Amino acid sequence: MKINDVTGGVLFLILAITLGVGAWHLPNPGEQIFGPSTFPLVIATLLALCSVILMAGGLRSAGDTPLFALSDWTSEPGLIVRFLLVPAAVFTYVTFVEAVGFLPTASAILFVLFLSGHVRPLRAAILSVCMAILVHTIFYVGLSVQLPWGIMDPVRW
Amino acid sequence: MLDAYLTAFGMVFEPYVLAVIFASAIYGLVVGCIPGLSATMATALLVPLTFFMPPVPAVAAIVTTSTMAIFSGDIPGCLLRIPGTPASAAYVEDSYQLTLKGKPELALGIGLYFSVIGGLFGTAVMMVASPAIAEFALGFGSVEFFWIVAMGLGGAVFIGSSSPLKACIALLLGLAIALIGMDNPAGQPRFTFGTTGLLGGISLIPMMVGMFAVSEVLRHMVSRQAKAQIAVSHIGPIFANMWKLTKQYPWQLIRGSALGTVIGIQPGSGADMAAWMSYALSKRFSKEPEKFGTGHPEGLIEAGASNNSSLAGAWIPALVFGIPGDSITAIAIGVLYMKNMAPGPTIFVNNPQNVYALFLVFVLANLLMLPLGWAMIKVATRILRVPRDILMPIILLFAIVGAFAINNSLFDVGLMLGFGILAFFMEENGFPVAPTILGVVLGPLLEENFINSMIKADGNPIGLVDRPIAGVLAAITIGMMVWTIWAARKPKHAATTV
Repeated sequence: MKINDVTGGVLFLILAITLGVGAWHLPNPGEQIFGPSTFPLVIATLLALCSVILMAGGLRSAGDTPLFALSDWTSEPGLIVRFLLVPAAVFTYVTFVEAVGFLPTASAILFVLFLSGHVRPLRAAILSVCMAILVHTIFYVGLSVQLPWGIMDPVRW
Repeated sequence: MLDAYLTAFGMVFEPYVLAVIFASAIYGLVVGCIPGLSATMATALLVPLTFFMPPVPAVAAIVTTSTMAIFSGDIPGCLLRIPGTPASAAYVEDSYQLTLKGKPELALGIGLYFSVIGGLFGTAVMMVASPAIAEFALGFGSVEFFWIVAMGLGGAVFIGSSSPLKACIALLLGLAIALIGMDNPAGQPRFTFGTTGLLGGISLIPMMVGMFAVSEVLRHMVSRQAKAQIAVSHIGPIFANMWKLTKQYPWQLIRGSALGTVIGIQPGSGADMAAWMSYALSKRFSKEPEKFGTGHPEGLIEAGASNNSSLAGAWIPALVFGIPGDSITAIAIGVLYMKNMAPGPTIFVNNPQNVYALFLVFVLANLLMLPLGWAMIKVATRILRVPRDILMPIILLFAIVGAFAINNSLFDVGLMLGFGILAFFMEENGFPVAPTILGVVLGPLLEENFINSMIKADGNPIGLVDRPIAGVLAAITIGMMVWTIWAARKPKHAATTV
């Protein structure tokens, strides 16, 4: 999604105001003159100023530019699916890795992503398992990162 | 100093560190060679692994990877006309034209040989200049450091940015992100939304991995790039004409190395800008400017030396002041903090052996580039055939596990994804990502020095500029901002962002 400078300015202005209001209400133990809210208020003010300049510049030069427009790649459903596969892969990992285990989860994610890149199914399956084992070896065996075993706990090594 | 160097020598030349350097060199060469995978991304992906290493090998891994990746970016530029990293983009046309003329070995030989010389030149400057600057900076107080940090952030925003305003917003976004957590002078939890996972602030590594690696994967997913054809199948002896070229273009080599180092020192401008500026300068002073872009070696020599020398240059402000010269040193500074090697002038007094070890790693990495770079060139045609549709999912898996590994936290994996998507949309809309990272890295330092300075000055803003060095630094910082805004006004009338 592409936004023009007016929309970008509005979004960052909202962020600046939210930041400023949040900073204003921060507790200040000891009633310090330069307490925890001082620096956030400076940042919020500068961000608001930059946002207004961005909006003003956008209003001057935008002409008939739409407030937001979809990027070229969104016209191809295949590319949208490929884009969405990335967050889906991460969500799948976060949701299932504890219960199912690292090796099956990582292999499944890799397999689907390989297929989306038109890798042949057999090659994708072999690569998925091999790469999951390689990553597991580097992090679990090499660096002692506690990657969960899940359903593969009986064959843990 | 000699004792510290001897200690540093012992720290670097031990089997574990040498093995890390060797493995990082191979990794950097392979990643740099693959178009679309930048040296910054290679470094960001490496950070989770460095988390588990002692300080010297951790820093050695970063230095070696980035040095190798910047050179290796020349290889696909020469064989496919696609620069492997942005730092090779400036001279890709000359490089590819040489390949089309049947001389790929000449283009690749120049890339390798003059990268090594440029890298060693930058390293020598770093070895001499950093301790001297550090000694001078030992007398700096919080006010001077506030302006040094402001200058570093200003450099990121105002030097080499196509839209200083958008870069400024990206920086402020980074500074806002850095506000999250308890790491502030008051020790007060801020913007944590009641989440204990945010009390320690936004974890830097998942954020960097997300912004540099996940965003790259997302960009690949929506790209329609056709497979590029490799222009040659055989590469001849690559060092054959190098000495002849050194004698033919000595000034170009010296000028490229020197300019690259200076540009590297400037905060915010990295290897890609060094290469572009050196290539332009080479053409400007050349006796044969009409030959540039047609497979002429002159610009290749100057820009090739320049981009590698800038890497060492960027470490000078990083080590002495903790201010990154480019996005790679921004990541490296994060690693230094993580390893209790907080950069600053006192590191040269308290831990000189660690700094000298870093110098030695730079020398070693550049020397190692000769044989390993040669080997890489020989196998490059095979590596370039590995489809990115296979590499990108593997990179995503490394990113996920790397983000998780730091705190064994799935929350960090979510953060990584969030920042990856944020970076993707920022870049789609012309907001650069590097200033955001710099903002997050330097935010706490900026706030601490700002608050301390204001307390010392009893709230009087004049206290920020009434010391001579602080006044000069303030003038340079403000002058740089005003000059860039003035210079950016002309093209702005024509520019419209959609």
